[in-house]
Amino acid sequence: MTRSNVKTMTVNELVQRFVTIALDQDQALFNDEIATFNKLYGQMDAVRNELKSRPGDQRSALLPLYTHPNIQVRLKAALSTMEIAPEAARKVFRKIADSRRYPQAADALAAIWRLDGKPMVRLG
Amino acid sequence: MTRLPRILYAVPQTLQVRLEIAKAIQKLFAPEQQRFSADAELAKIQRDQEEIAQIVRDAWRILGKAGFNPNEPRVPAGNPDGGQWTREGGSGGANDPRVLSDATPDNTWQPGAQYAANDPPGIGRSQGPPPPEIPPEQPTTKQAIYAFLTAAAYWLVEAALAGEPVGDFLLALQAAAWLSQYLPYIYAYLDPAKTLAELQQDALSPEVGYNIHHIVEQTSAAQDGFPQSMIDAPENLVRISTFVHWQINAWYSTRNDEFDGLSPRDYLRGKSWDERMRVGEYALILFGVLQP
Repeated sequence: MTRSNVKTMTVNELVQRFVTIALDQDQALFNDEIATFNKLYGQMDAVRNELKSRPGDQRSALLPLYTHPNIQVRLKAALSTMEIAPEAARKVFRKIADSRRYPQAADALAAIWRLDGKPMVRLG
Repeated sequence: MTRLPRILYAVPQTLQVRLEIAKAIQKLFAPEQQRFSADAELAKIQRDQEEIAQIVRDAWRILGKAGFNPNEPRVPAGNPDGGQWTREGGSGGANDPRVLSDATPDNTWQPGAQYAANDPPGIGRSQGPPPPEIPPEQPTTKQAIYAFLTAAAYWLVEAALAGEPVGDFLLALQAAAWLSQYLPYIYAYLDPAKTLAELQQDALSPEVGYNIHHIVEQTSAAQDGFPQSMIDAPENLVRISTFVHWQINAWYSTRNDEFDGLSPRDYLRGKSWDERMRVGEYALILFGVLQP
């Protein structure tokens, strides 16, 4: 998927694309296909950046995914919207972290620490 | 065959329960561990252990299907896939194998709806089913071994989460000698988080079910010119569950928001030893083996 593809998509289409990528990520993690996962990571980045660039920051269209049945979709939706809905995202992260379903639980715990202003990783 | 989901979950949340299980298992399997350490054919044993660990990991992946129900449809006995859990239909839609981690198919998902998948399995359980029947001899097929291990592990963690006694079932498991080679991997995964000093001390005593894990990754550190004496120093070695060791290794390779879209391994290229150690300890905390 190229950046020009996402430019022509509607917000609803971008959200559906987001879900599809997250499910594919889950599959890649299951199969230990790290290269595939990392490629999908870039594709999801393109989708969420496109949503962010739309008028009014359309990442809010991802908020309904907080109740999606798939844990990777919920995790990625919360990670993508934690800037605009930090407290709602925190609840999603807490449930995922408490579930101890890895690797998602690890990413959720890291996100909670970041929301708390105590990131373990200080880049730069 | 429809691919089955992965994910390790439903580890007992309270320290007391986890300690109780860990102590019981340590007692139950001590003779086996001594036998392993005394065996002269160490290389062969290590290969065997690796194969056993793979089998148990696969079983855990099957177990990880959220909403897993031991009574759900399975391929009938006699079929080449007999004993494995299945779903009706093929891929796509409600049976899309990509819907891996939870029970509710994505095409029935509605915004705002509440799904059981949002809660850890076992919560709210008042009295569960009896434990699965333990085969007296090792089943002849891997599928049958998977089926039993997943059912047993599922029952065990569910009972522990519900605060129900698990001791009798553990004793029954002990009585089945064929299980002794598989169970340490599961119970090692149930270990509570420890201090760094405890994990380093544990590294002096290798056991079945655990790996000696380098806090600072050994290969990338060597590639960046750090001496082997630092890489293999006692301060850099901890003993952790084999499953967690694999999970952390995979985590190092995958792109991550916390590292500005890089994988932790790529982020650490050219970094100092101290930074590598910090990220290594961070991973141990994230995966629940090191106390924050």
